[in-house]
Amino acid sequence: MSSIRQDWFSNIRNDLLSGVVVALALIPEALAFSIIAGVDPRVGLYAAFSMATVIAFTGGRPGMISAATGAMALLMVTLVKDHGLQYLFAATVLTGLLQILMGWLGFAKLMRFVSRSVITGFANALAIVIFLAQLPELTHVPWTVYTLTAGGLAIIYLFPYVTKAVPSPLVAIVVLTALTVALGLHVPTVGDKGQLPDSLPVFLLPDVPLNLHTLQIIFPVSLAMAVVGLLESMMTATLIDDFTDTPSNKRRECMGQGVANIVTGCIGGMAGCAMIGQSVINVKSGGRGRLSTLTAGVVLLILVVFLGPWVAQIPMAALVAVMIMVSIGTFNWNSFRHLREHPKSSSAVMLATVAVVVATDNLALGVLTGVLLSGFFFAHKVGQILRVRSMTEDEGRVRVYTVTGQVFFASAERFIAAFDFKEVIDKVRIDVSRAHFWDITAVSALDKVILKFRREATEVEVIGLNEASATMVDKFAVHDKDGAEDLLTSH
Amino acid sequence: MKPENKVLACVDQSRFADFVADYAVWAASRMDAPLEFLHVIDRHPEVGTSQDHSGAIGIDTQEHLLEQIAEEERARIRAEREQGRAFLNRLRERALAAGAEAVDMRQRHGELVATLVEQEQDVRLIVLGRRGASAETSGRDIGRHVEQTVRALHKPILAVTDVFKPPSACCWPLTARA
Repeated sequence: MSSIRQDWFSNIRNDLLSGVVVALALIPEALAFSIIAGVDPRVGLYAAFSMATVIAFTGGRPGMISAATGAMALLMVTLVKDHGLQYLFAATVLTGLLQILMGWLGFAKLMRFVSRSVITGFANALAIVIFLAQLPELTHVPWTVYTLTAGGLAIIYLFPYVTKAVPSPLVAIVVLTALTVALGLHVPTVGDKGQLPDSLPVFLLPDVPLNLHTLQIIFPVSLAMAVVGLLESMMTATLIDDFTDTPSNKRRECMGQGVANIVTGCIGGMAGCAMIGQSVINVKSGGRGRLSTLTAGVVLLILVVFLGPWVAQIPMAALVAVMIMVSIGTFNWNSFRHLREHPKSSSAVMLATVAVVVATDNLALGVLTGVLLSGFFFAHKVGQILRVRSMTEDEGRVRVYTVTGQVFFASAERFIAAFDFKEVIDKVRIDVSRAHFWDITAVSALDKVILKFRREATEVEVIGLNEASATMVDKFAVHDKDGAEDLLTSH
Repeated sequence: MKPENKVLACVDQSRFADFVADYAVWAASRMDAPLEFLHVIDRHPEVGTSQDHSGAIGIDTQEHLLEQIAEEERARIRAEREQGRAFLNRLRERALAAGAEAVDMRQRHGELVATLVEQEQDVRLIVLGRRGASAETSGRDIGRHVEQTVRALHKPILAVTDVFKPPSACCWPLTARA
């Protein structure tokens, strides 16, 4: 009981206010990315409403904002173009099912393999993608559009110096709309971009044939959307955890995202996830509880359904200005300022993540690239930790090689190269009791060394192989036995 | 380590604190036990205090926001700590003046009941006010902390109602249940 009160009603005034502020930042993203995805603005706006409303109840991170996002929209472009809207709804439902499954299987725990650099790269890529999505609204348009956009940005960033009581994006939207109407300017407006909601959404199952062919069409898209949605949600949740110094239930968040997407697909919305920029706006405005997310969703629906004719009058330039703001706020400027100071491998991982996303419009591929690359760099670095020293004993009849450090696929070659096979000697003793053999590659490297010495008619004795190979946890399964800690640390 | 067997006086910054202090001094001297004042400060990370509803985010907003929130929290906690310390110190002086010998004080972050459960082991008697700071605003006869504490702990609890008057008689409740 106390946690329900704490999650919902401990911050009522600020949650309500910040919810309203956030709703205003949700509308431009929902609109802009419906257009990118090739669907009516209605689809994005319904999605924003239902994602925010459902996640307010099912999510694991109070205060985080979820809605229709650019990251997801970019993945559905081809599906919509080739197969139409109903398949998008079906894909959205399947995305939700996959997210529930992945959440249940512990996707949240995989996040520890996503390094800081990959997360920064993800945020930067997202910011760039959001910015690039605005470019179609800024090309082949009358010069008045540029003036309006610049004016909008000026209002957004300068108005807070006058008062912080009113959301400056709202002021920008209202002023620019009033100007366009009053001056009769001929610039593209929201109404030109397609149908806006004229009623509350209704619950309908997607109208697609339920067969294997449909699954083949939607599954790849749904899988990518499920992964990207969970990635952005987990990253945003961590960000909010830091801001508020409170923990979140990541597992519940994963499954909550799934439920929200299923509902969204069933009321005619496109898939969505958590949003970094809008969540930052929420925290900045004092939003902390579930009420802020719910308010954002409900206010958004009220705005677009009941003020629909007015929303249609909003010039696209005003929304572009708001989205440029979101893009600037999402980008991690420090990561570029410190590009040279950070380790080269970290910077390379970050840049590779950004580059792959911008090239493919697929944030999942970017993260995969980043994670693989950080894995390579790590393996390379750890592979350096290997020393082989040698000394003769028994009046030059025996040479003792002492191996310390990590032997695995990345260092196996250096391990072999450390032995002198040309030496004319009776016996070689290899002491590996202070080395770790991590995988089959390490063991076969040792076999190779033994074989090579035998060919030279040198007798080989290996000491401490049991201790060394104890680290091959998957073979000997010491990780779940008593004393595993000692085995791994003692030698 | 040997349990301290102290008398723990739980106080909040309300008029009941003085009564609790007086009764705790009386109990401690009768039991010949050390006395400790406990002041628990609630943290409310779920409450946002921002007055900035501009909704504008720009370059480095995330870093600035994190710094700003952390700084505000630091300032608030420091002020609370200082105020709490002065308050406890006053009670300590009062207890010493009333004849108590070993008087200590402690401030903790967290919830009262959870804190008491942690500390229970070293305690022989807990003294707390029947009502506390919310007495002015809520109409309840017994504060919510009293009920939660009684349910959660396994040590004797003395709930204090009003101005100190040495107890002269004692009523022993018995139930038929074993």
